[in-house]
Amino acid sequence: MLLQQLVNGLMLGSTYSLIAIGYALIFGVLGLVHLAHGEVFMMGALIGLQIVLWLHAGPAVALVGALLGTAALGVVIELTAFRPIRARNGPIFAPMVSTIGVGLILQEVATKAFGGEQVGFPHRLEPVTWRLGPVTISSVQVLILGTALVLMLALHLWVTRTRMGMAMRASAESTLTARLLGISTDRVILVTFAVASALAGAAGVLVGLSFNAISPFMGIDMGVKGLAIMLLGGLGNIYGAMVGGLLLGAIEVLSVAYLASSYRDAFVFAVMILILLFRPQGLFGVGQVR
Amino acid sequence: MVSHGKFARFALAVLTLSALALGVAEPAAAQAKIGVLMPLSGKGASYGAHQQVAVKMFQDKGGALTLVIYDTRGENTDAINLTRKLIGSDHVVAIVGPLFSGESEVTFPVAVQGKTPIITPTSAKPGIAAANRPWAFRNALTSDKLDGALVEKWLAANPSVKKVVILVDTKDAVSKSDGSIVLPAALKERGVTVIDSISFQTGDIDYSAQVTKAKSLNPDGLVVAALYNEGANVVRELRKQGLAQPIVAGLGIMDPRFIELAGPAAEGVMTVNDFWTDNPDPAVARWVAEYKQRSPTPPSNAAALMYDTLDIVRACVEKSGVSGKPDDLEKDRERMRDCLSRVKDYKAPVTGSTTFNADGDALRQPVVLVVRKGKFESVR
Amino acid sequence: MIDSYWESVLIFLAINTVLALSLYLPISAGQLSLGHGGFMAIGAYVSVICTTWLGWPLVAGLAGGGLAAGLAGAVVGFPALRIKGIYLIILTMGFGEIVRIFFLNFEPTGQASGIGGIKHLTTLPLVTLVAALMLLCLARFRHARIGRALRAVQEDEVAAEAMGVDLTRVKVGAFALGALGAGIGGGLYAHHALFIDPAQFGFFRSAEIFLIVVLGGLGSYWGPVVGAAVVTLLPELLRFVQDWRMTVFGTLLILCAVLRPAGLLSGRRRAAA
Repeated sequence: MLLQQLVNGLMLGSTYSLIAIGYALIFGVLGLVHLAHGEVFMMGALIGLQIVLWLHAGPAVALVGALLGTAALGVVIELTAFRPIRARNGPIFAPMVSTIGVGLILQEVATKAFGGEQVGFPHRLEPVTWRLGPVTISSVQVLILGTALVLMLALHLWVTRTRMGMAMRASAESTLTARLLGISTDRVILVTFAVASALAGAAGVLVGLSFNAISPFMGIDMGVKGLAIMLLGGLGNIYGAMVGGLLLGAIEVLSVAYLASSYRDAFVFAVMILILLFRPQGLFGVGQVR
Repeated sequence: MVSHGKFARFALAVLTLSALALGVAEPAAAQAKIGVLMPLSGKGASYGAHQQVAVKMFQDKGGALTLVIYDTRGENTDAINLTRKLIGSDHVVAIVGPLFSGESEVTFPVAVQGKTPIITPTSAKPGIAAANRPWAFRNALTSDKLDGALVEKWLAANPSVKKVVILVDTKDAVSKSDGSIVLPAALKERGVTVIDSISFQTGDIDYSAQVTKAKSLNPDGLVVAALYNEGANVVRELRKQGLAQPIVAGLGIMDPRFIELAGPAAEGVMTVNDFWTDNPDPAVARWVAEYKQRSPTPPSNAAALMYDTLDIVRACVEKSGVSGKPDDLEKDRERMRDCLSRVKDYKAPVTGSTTFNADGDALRQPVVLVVRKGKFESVR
Repeated sequence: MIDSYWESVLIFLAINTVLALSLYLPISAGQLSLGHGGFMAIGAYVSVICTTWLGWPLVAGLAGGGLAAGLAGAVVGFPALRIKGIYLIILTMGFGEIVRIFFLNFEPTGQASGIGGIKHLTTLPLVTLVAALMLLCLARFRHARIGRALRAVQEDEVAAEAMGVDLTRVKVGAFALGALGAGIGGGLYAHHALFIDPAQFGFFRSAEIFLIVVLGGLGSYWGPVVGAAVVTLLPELLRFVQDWRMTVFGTLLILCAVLRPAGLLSGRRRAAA
């Protein structure tokens, strides 16, 4: 059973990673927590579902559609809810209030458009299961892990090889220096939002495909966990977020397997608190915590 | 600090004035008014949407009932405030609702204090009506009245089942009591051992860990106590991981969307309820057909029970001489209360013969159902 | 004479004010806490145990609940000393969730089924009195040494410490007192709602209280009052847009954040003189 549980954890964790990376990106570049990120994830799932239903398309199309859709959504959020506040230089909780507002709006819009309860992807997309020794894996799980890895790799390449990606890292290090170097921070922020939201949207589709439980409220739980992972991996550190997500998935699954499930979330938070107390820079963060 | 002081006072003044303006009570109309509480937004909105269709169907049938409808958003706070509003400002003679057991817990005492009969069509948590007699009633069946028959038939169909694993939603009060108390008791009575009880929570999306654990315990049968969302996901995961044992589920999963969400994995799952959309009974079939004309999704329990509860309430309004005049309000409410407590073998249009017992709980003949070829069927 | 409906709305408003005022204290010491729901839960459950199982009167129950919550606050306050900003937010959030999950599993208090049958002991005059007392305390604080120490810490911790302010006492004290207030708020809530279960005290609750405080702004202790009024009354007043209530509310939040980022009552803060 242990091996199977680890596989379960890996699958679950890869979706967590995608969301955590988004948080890390936004926090890294903007220094703030995007409390509606979970809702962007949710919208990704819903957009993906609609594409499948309207166009009778397969999961690949849904994925691409969700990526684009949520990227656009992210841009809109940045322009309406974040940029105006940045201009005014208010205290750090002003953007948080704004994101709470965004989250509420997205939840209600989703409820109106898609109903309040969970829906699932149509069963045409039913996965194939394979048995490798003591472990059972489904094609959907492979798809999830594979897609997540591809996306993370793409992100890594983008951040280290492309100009825009490097500009983003520069801005994350120091906005002032970046500006001095002639980087348009406004544009970088827009791109950051688009990328972070796209990843969350992809995670949404993957989760929807695998767990078949899409609802307007699925983002809340994920949002909180994503925050925890970002902390685990080191704030603003996307590689930390990747590993942290997988780790958290494994921890969660193992705690369910060997303890009672109702303590599952408590376990996650306890781990989080321990990290905060003993290694606040996260597992992979470097240097002092400001 | 002039700037913020002035703004504060201004804001408070505006808010208070608007609050007072909206709080002025309207004069009561000379017709019996019934309050209806449903979650039309927020969580539970989809149950509320179903109930809304049922309410419209009821209203279109005519009759001298004025309905005052409020949206509780599924929130206890709103439920409390709105119950008070119905009793104190809208002067209703009875209240139908609310939907959630939590909401019922908070509104029933308010109704008792306001001496107004309140009847929930759907709350299934054990004991809430009993704790608020004589004003509180419950039209939904509770698991303690159903599970005996269910387990009986399930074991009859699967005689080789001697040990089971229970998968239970510990966050939902009704499922929790079903899965931790009622079902295990019914099983033990019939000589079946519960190897283990594995928990999950409402809203969970991943069940792989729980199912893997269940698989490793090697039971003869599986018991699921959950709502239809979670139940469908659990059942899918069970079949996905290769468990082929027979599954019995508590009444929480009873909803046409269970089959929709679970897909082929739902085949063979047995449960129990008093309403299902494929009931061949002509009265029910007619009602379902009409409902389907008005709504894209088939009716759930919530809709059927709302319809029937309104019907019972209407019958009481007509039979017990409720006048609807403001002076008679107190007496009218007492008449309604007495009428409801005397309901015996009332032929409710959709769910059938209904009786309210001394606890205010509904008694009906439960039907054990099994999923065959994508539909619920009754088990002989 | 207010009608029953508005009485209940106002009671909830006053309770929200109590909760907001209690969160205002730690936040104005620079400790952003998103776990106040947890302290509220402790206060609610303990006060119910006092009144229902032990038969105490409400005030004693509130005191019991408040003290229990205050103790928890002191316990959380110590590790919170070393942690700032976003980290503290996450720490407190985790704490709040752990409390909720604890009660979800704790058999004697009913787990998910919660506790019902609570006596209706909360009255509008009582809650208003509690809120008024808290406001009074905060007003006196401002001018007393404690209040000035608090403001000094808020402006610049290092300087404050250099001036002899005992950071530990101020910050842990603010945290513990804030928790105590939340505990009292929880007890008042329990004896009005007459039923409590863990779901009432989850992250949503913490976020709501936090929202109220930041909406009102940190400029003055009237901030939480205005914030509570907006958050409690607005959904009721918006009932005519029943279907899109949350969208309107969310839009208003965004507008607030954009137009008045330091809160509705943000004037210039008095220079520490």
